[in-house]
Amino acid sequence: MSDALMILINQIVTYGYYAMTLLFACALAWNLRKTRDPQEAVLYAVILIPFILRVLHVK
Amino acid sequence: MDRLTRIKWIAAVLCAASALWAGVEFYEMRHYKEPVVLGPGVTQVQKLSAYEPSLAGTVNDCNVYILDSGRPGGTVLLIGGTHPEEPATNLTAQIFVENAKPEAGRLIVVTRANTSGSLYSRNGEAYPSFYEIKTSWGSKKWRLGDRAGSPLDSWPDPEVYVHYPSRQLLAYMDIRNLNRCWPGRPNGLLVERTTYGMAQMIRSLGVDVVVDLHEAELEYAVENTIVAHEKAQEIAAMASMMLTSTEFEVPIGMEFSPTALHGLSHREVGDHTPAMSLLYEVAEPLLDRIRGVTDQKLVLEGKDDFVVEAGKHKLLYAPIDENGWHIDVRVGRHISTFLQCLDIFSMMNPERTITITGVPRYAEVKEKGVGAFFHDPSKAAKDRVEYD
Repeated sequence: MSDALMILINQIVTYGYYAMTLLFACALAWNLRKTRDPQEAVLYAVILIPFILRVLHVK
Repeated sequence: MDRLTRIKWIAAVLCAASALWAGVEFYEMRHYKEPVVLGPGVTQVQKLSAYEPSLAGTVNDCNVYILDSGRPGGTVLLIGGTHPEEPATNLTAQIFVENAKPEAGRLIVVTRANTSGSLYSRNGEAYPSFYEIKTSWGSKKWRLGDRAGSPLDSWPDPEVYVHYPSRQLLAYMDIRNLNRCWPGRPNGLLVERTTYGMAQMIRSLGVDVVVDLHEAELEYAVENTIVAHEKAQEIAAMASMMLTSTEFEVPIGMEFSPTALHGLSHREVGDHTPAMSLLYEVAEPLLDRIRGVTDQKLVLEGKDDFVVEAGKHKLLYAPIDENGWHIDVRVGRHISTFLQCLDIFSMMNPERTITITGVPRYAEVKEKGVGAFFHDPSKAAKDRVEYD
């Protein structure tokens, strides 16, 4: 496999990863809005933190 | 507003505040630039991308400081910051940049070999982001990073890292560990390209000796020692004897670079370039698993009650008492070891002599502290200050 193709695949995986992270972040935010359980609401909010930081390329 | 909505808002606001607080700290660390005052010996500052163009525009396109005496002699490369959570390494390298005056031959210094790793801290270890050292003109700040490059710069990791060219299997995250990626390759991931750039630099500048600085936990067997490639064994053995008998209270040993362990500078630089390679280790209690509070004090003073207790039970490979392993001691040992190795190299290869003046040895660093050897960037001419 050529180097250029390997680099392209690597980039696609990287962008896919960030898209997936954004998708999970949106799903968590949506669940936070929809849930009727206060404990679940707190849990969703806490879990959102690393997803937000990763989407913003901060950590 | 009902009770549930109130709880949701409070949770969302508190977590957003936490994310912001952490995010600001992470952002500050990733974007902080360390000033380096170019000393009287620095004749040129290059970028590593001059030797591997694919590094241009990446965080690992580090500065390469060249101190050329203008007189015939050999060339030595000093590498600091291979593992950014080992601060004595980049501090030692920077002391050479800010003070060294080569009288014969040429000195090349890299202070932040794996810059990417210095831009973030280790997950789950509560490392401080920065440490500050007092100087006569104020306090000077450096980033304390992680052992390996940041996943923000090199991702995804492979399931198993297959080292090039040996094909030895290594742990997945070691593809971001600069001292598992030698001799590197131009079409690899970021850290492999970084070591490839340095290997190309070694070849094209005709480097004779490469020294890679490190620190190690006291629980680790390779401690307070010089690890030497076959080409450098005589130098390491003589330096170890000289330093132990004349300068250091705690002896420095000498070990042979294992031939079957790949990716490390002491093995691959010697095998894949014309240079001889050496790696220095000094004790750093911050890295010990059994340490207590991990703060700036531990980074700089190297004192930890738990590590001392482990020493009493003979569980360590280096001695430690209530004085700990201060940064002055760690940096001083690295400087003296480097200068001693150069003296011996020059004695054995008179036509390739490398003479460096202007830098303190162990006793002077211990007496004055490392802060005495860094210069005020605000007082230096603008074109004599670089940033790592």
